[in-house]
Amino acid sequence: MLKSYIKIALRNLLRNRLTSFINIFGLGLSMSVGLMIMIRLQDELSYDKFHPSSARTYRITSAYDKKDKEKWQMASTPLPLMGALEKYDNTIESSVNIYPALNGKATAAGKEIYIAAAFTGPSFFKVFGFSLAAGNTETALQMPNSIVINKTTAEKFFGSGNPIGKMLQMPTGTNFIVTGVLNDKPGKSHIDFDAYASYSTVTQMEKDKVLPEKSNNWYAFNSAYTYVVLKKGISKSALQSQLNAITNEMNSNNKEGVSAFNLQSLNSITPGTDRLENNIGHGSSWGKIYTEAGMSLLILLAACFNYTNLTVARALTRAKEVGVRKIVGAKRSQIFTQYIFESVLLSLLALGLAWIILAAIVRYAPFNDDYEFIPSTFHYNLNYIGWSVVYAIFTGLLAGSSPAWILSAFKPLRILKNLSTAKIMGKIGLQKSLIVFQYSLSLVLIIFLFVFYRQFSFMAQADPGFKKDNVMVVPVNGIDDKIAVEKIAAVSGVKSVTASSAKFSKRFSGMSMPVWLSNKNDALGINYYYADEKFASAMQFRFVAGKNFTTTYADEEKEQYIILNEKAAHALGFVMPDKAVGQKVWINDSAQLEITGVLKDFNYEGSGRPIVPLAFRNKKNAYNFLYVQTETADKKAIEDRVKKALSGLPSIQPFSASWLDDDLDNSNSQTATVSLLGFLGFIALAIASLGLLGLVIYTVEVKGKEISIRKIIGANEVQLVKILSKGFIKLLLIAGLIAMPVGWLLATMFLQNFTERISFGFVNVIGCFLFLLSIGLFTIISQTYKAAVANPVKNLRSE
Amino acid sequence: MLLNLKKIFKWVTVGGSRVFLLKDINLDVQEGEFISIMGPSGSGKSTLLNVIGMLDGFDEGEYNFLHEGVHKLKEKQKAQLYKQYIGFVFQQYHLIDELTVYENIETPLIYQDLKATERKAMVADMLDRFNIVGKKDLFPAQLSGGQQQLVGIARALIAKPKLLLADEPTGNLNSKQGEEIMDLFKQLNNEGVTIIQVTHSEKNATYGSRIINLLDGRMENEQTV
Repeated sequence: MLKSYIKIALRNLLRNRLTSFINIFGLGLSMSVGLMIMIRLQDELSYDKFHPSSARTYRITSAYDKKDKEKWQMASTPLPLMGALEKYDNTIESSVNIYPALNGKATAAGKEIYIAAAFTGPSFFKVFGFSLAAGNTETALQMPNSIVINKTTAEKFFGSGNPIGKMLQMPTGTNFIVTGVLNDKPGKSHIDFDAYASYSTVTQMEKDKVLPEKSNNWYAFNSAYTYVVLKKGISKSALQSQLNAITNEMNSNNKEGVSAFNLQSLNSITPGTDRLENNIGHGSSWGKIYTEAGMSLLILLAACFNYTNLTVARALTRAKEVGVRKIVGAKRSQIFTQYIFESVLLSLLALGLAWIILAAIVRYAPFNDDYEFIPSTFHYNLNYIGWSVVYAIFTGLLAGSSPAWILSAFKPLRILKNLSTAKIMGKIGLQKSLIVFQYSLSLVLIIFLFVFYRQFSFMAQADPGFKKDNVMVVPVNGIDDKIAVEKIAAVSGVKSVTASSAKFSKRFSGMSMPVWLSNKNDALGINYYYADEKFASAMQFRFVAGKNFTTTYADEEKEQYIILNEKAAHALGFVMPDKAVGQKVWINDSAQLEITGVLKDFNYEGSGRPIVPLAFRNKKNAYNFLYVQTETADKKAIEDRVKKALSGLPSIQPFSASWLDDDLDNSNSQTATVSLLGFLGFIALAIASLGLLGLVIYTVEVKGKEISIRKIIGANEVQLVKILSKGFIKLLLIAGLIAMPVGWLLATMFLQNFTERISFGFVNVIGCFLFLLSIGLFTIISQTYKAAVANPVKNLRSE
Repeated sequence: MLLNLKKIFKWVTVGGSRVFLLKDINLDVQEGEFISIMGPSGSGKSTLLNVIGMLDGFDEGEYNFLHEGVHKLKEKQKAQLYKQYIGFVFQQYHLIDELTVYENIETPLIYQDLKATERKAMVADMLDRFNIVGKKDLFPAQLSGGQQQLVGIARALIAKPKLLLADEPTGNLNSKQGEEIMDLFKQLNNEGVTIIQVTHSEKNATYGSRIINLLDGRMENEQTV
């Protein structure tokens, strides 16, 4: 039986190649969206799997109901809770808290880098299973002013040198000694900080007034995150009652509101719930996951609906088969199973197509830029493949059950009677409104995509105000930049080499600081890069006043000068830029820098963003990137030569290089977003057109007799095409009338976000509509024309 | 007795008045009979055949098939009954275009959940008997009308029905092919299969043992050949 089902299903697919193609294509496209979402889902579900006793590990959450009805549920807890838990050693095996109050610009080895750091205790390693590549887990977080940093941070600051024992200063002025370097995490965790400092430091920092006094504040619920590992065999409720004892005492002293502590299992933290505030980590929430899954299900439903329509439309031609099968002894359930089988087989084929599309998406990552839409850590796994097959079977059932139900219900007698005028679907009002909706949506997407694409390619071509061609950017990666500069400068094809602390990109990636002339209260927040003295000329910045950094310093170790852009000079109150030159500005309470030049404003962030005040500073060892100006020549060859030149130096990362113009064009033209929008737009349009096609085929089949009669009594082909197509063209026009104003409004609103924008008239919108209309017309006329030229006798004979 | 019809009425209501398709049909069929139903177009021949074949219902009267009251049966039970005892042959052959000759003949057996080896033997037997072994892997479109009808009959017979219903089995065939089919029917009848056929052809009607003439849904007369 099974073999026979597969055989007939395959033969049917081959026999109706066009319909099979349409169905596989439509389903495959929409399934590829689902597969992408499944990758994202798998990624979200992979959090917190490596912690050693995760089944016994809980996070304590707090709830606070204020008397005036305000209610909070927080993932965080007050600091003193940790100490209070100590007396419950009958239930708790170990506990730790994480107090993320140490974010900011860290300074070490001459470099400044933003890090996210948290205070935590020595049991941190035991509870979460993190390990150290260097240092001792028992003692690393014991002493005050100890800090453990992750590998990336260690490499950024210290290169390949040994970080243990080095000093690291936080913006509060507190110094920390590096006591350990973390190993890379074995998996994803919601606990993801660059560095962890010893909790014992907190007391002194609070005394120094560089941390708010929260150590003993039971009502600062948003302070820290507290985790406990229960003893083996101890139930959650045992600890819960102990927590209740704590809150009972809190509540008896507090008339303002009611506090409570609850337990959240480690496994349920990511993906989290949206109602829990103060959550940490990069994980998503169930709300977002459901939204994504819902979107992909909607796209899938649209494609399934098309399959259903097409199959039912073609049912007239298959009714005979059903009738014959029933007369020779098939039960309804057998016919039903056969058709379900067919749709499942078809959706498995569609899955094949979806996998091909997905493989291309994973391989070439067209939707990824800074934000990884498809996590780059994804690799194919058995679990994923298994679920995608389940997904395909589900799709087959979803798409196939209603046509299978309709087809299997045919009374065998119908094949003996006149069938071709039977209307299976009844009134097709629902289908028509769906077509209008699908086309409206596609048109809005097309219009938006069009304006999006035009705006960003316009911006990508705009002059940023500095030299971006033939500039290769090489990360320093812990090499001594002085030596690297010398080595690279000697490479043939290289004109000059300069160094800077950051790379020009879509978003500002340098540092910022307060700057003031005389009164600290008027301090201006200002972005800055470190750059060497050749940087300004190599990048062809134009000075409107003053000059570049000098190459000779009285005291090499002491920073003396600063260069501002026009915006910064104006913001500091200098109407004429040349008045600023020679003035001194404070950058902190103890350091002053002299303004040596003012630069003409240029776009140092993505073009289209407003230019904000910027400064260049000049300091040894602060450089992270080398800017290599090359002659116009083969990019690859120069990369190879530079790589070779650097090969002898102790680097911590393999050599990598990128080209400034490529990077900027990529980020400015928003290729990833354009691609994703384009892909979705294509799917929407394809599904809408396939739906329309199904409806046209159905109508033409139902009206077969009418067409033949009209033709016999004298209608010519053009007239027939007109009669058949009129109704559908009306649908397209309605879709256009709905979508054009909406699309235009969206486009106009979108363009308001840019200072430099393209002009986008209504003509563009009409152009988009004509594009859509031509696709729709092609779909309609391909079928109606075929019906109009068909031999009328054929249709009447079979009556 | 194989079946009997008592006072069978079938009608449709058009504009408030009844139009009778079958009117007071009384018919007894013994096992082993070969009956031809004749009459002009619209006289209700095919309707009567469909009622006998349980593909169509009726509005009044009694129908007993092997002492089972068909008028009392539900749709599913009727289907069960005709699948077991009745084979159909059509003017348009109604083969499944997507299946080969072999598979078309095999289909009824598949629905009876017979084992593959059993099916194979039975189909081979049938192919042999109808002399179409060489055509078993062809599709219906590759056969002549007569050959298609042979396959249609083979399919109708494979499940060993007691009754064979044929609706103008030679209507689409030329006279030579038609003659062959009728000879086959005669032979089958001699082997014990009860046959009821609808036909326009006086000549074909004489193959049977009894001829029933219908006019406007009413049995005009009955003659024995």
